[in-house]
Amino acid sequence: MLRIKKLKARVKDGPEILHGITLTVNAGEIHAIMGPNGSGKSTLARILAGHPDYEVTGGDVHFQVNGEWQDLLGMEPHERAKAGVFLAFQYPVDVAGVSNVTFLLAAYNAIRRARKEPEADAFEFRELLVEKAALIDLDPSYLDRAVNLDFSGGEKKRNEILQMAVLEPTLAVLDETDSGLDVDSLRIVAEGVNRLHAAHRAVLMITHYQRMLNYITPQFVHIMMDGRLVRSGDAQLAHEVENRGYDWLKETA
Amino acid sequence: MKTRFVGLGEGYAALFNAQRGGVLDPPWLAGRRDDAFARLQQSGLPTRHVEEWKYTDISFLAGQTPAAPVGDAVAVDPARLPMWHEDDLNIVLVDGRLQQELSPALESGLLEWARLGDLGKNPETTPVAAHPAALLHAAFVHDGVLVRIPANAQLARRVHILLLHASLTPHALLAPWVAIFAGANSQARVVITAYSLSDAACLHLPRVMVSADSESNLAISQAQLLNTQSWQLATSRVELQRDAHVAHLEAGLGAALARHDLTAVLLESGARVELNGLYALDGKRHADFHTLIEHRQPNCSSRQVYKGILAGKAAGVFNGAVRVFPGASGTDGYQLNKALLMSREAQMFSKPELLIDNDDVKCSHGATIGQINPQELFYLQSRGIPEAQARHMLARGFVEDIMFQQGDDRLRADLDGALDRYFAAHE
Amino acid sequence: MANKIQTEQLQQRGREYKYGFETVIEQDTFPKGLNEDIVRAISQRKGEPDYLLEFRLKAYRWWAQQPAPTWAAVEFPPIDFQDIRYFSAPKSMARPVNEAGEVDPILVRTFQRLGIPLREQERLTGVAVDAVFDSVSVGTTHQKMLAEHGIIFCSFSEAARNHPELVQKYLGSVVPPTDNFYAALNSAVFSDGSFVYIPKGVKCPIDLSTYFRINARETGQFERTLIIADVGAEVSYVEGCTAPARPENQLHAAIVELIALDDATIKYSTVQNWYGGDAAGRGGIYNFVVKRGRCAGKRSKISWTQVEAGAAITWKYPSVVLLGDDSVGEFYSVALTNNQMQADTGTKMIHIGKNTRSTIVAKGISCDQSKNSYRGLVRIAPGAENARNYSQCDSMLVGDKAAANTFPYLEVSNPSAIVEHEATTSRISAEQLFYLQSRGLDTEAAVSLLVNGFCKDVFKTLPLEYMVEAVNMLELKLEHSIG
Repeated sequence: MLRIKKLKARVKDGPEILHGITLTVNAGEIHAIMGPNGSGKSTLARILAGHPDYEVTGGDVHFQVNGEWQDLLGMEPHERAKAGVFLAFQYPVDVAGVSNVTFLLAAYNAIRRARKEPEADAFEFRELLVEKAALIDLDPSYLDRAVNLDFSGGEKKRNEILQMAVLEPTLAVLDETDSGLDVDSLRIVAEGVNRLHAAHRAVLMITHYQRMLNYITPQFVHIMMDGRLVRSGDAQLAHEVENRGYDWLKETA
Repeated sequence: MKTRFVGLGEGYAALFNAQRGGVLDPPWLAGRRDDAFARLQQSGLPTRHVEEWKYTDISFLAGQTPAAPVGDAVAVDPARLPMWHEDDLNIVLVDGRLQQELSPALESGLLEWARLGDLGKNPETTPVAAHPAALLHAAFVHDGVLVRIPANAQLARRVHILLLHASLTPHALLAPWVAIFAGANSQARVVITAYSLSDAACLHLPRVMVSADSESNLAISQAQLLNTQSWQLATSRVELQRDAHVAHLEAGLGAALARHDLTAVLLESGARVELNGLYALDGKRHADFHTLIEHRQPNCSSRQVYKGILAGKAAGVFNGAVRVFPGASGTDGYQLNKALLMSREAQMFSKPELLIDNDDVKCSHGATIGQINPQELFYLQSRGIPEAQARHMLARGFVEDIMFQQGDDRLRADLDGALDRYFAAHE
Repeated sequence: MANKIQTEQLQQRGREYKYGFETVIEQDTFPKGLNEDIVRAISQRKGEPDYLLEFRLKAYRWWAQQPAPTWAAVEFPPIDFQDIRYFSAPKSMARPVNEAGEVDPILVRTFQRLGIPLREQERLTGVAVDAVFDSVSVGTTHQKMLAEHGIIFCSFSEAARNHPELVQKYLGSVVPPTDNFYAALNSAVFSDGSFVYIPKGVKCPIDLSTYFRINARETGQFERTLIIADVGAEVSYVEGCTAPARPENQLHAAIVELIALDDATIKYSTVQNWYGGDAAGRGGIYNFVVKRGRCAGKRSKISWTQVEAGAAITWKYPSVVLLGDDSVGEFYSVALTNNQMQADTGTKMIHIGKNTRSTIVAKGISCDQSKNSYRGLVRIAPGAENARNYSQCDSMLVGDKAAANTFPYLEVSNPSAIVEHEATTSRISAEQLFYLQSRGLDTEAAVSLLVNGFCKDVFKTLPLEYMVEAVNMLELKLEHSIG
């Protein structure tokens, strides 16, 4: 579903951060990318979503839409969303003046239009939202509040999961969604991810800690250091990192 | 054409010349004094046609004959003052002159201090502003005290600086100067009280300078309890360095006319300032609070709440500006201004300003002006409380939270006492 | 305005300003400069009765004694009032016309390009238009139909001749000629504008509108609008304005006076899109306007809505004097500044009558290196029992070079008043835009969502077809600044 080949990238006019990443994610899989701070994990996540601050300097990324491979890097951010890519932000952005429900309805219908599916009207959409919000334990009053504005850290992360649940992407990229969460929020967020997960979808988790992996079990764990994937393995690798830290991997890099 | 400024009467020049001869100023101070007076004579005093003085008329002061506070004065017995606490670190100025014998704190060893006239250079970092109160102060300042809280010191006792007005001379001009320099990582509470022992009208021109070094934590309170004949034009400047925190509270409870221009400057990142104010006016009294908070560096926050009660024919003015400079991203600024009109002829003028030159800011302000909620009043009356008392209870409740802001029970009790006297006068 | 027109043949100056073309037409233009002779010549050219000439001369003499005001938070070099032409009209307009059929085809084409069809068979059905070109009205549509309801809608010049009793009674009654510097200037040299009278009990069946077009070089536009809603009358009036894109500045100093008698309602909407200058700050209109309404009658209501998206400098405060008991004043504003534009705009709500209410909703959007200031006064006079005011002033910054200021003045002299004011600032950042895009919204949809979210309380007060126009105009300018 996702094929990343020898991807090199930098912050615009800055030094190179990714030095050649190769990674394949198939439908039905859950991958976790772990690594110390500054290793380039979040950069990879943002590049997949098309963040304008970054510049790809080499390699390519392809994404499968309805069985067809497409050049992901050639797409605008909104086109990627329509193709089925969803990034849960590490730092969700607040948007004053625009309510959660207005925002999500606009996004939902934009994506449905792209998929040639009928658009939802405001009434039925609200019902859908209330239902999804209940699943992640978000009070319905949040639906009418401005997007992420004055939300606590945990509420922002849960709001990301709500959006994911509504937009139903085929590839969910979770950028440190576990950071700053208390135990309850962590469990709710993880349940949200597990609920979405299906044979035709995939999940790519970016995380610093292993604790999220107690709730979501990845088939593949990759360790990123200094802009390279230095080791891949199964869930066992995550435990090893938890126990031994990252330093022992340096020599092998 | 509208008259924007009126020239100072000759009485000012006479007093200036007389005072200048009698003071042994260090050279920097003499030069500053001469310069300020020359500028003052050039500009005169503003009328209400000057935007900054739109709601407050001080032009009548230009025609007065100010006097030196010499001759008869009320005997000073600090222990009988309503806000006196023996175990505070007390420093007393009478009629603008430091009284060492009444200021045991100076010998406590807990503070470093200096008299204004003994300072070798100007401790103020900015030139005298083109502002009538600042210029008047600089021209007529007689004496003052600089208090330095040593770095890392945690003062357990309050510092209380009393600016007493004792002169019986009408129109005595008093221009005390107070500077608080808090060293890095120090912690202290300072209260500055202006209080009239005399019933004569004075022109009180205090200047307070506060400098909070990095990571210091200060609670500064200014209580103005002058007699209701007097006029006050006060200026204060609070400067904060990196990660410093200053909680400033002012209480305007006296004077016929009081204007205070308070500027807080967030000079380095991470600084936090709170400006809180409460005032209670009656009769024909007039109080004008001008605050300016300058966010000059990133990630500073300011919070400001001013509340006032206006009875009789009193007039209140609040002009609060928050200014965010181009580099000050991550600024968090909040301002609230509320006034309660207790009588038919009371007036309130409010002008909360935001001046934003950076897009990464979170600033908001709110202002409300209204009367006591009739439902609340009725509720209290229905429980047997007479109307006047019920109104006072509600009015006190309106400003109550301000008094808690400094976490200083002694200050709160003292301000409560002053409010008791204010309400008692209306019963 | 509701009709989108072909614009590809027009001279374009920047994607966001499609009205920057110039009409080539023979003009009858006065020499530069202002003196009593010029004032007399304007009056003579318009065939005015003596009372109007006296009105003008009085204003001129007062104006000549006044210094130009400088208190607004805007900066510009001093205006040389002797370097401006005070009258310019197409030669073909030498005689007055009533119905658009007689108008010079060049002018008809010009307004067609601006989306304002003047010909009988093409004109907009839901709205009557008075089209003003430089110093003259070139045509007013739907007059006959309106006359059947007793409604007078005509150019100011026509009104001065045909309805002197109304003009004499109300002209200058809300904005006296000596009110301020620019009011006096306008009162001395005003050329044309619109006049509206809605008789007792009549609800105007369609929207009335005036479209102001500046065309001639070095010429100022000084129009005058007077709207009177008699007892129980209702009217919704809309104005629009554009000008050629030129590297020099041009002055527009108008006066609008509204009078609402008992139970009358006037809704006045403005979609202002004067040329605002280029990215380097060259050119654009100086828009110095005095707009004031008087709720003279009991239960009367005056509501201002403005969407200000153009002009190099905007300096205006549409105001309401709430004289009648139970009268209502409203001000809804969106002011967008981009490039190096400056705006100092807001309102005054003067509460004098009992139980008067006012609402202020002001939204400022500052982009690029522009400066956007809200300045507003709420005054509760001593006798204004139970007055209520609520003000909400929000600023949005786009880019770190833009500036936003808020200067509210609240003056309360009656204890029964409740006055509340709130203000906030926020921004549109690239990060925000990316966030919305990453959820499937394209740039246009994302900007639209942000603009509508910020301005919805104002937009919803505009008549529908103008709302679409205003929203498009703002989105286009914002996309330019963000993208």
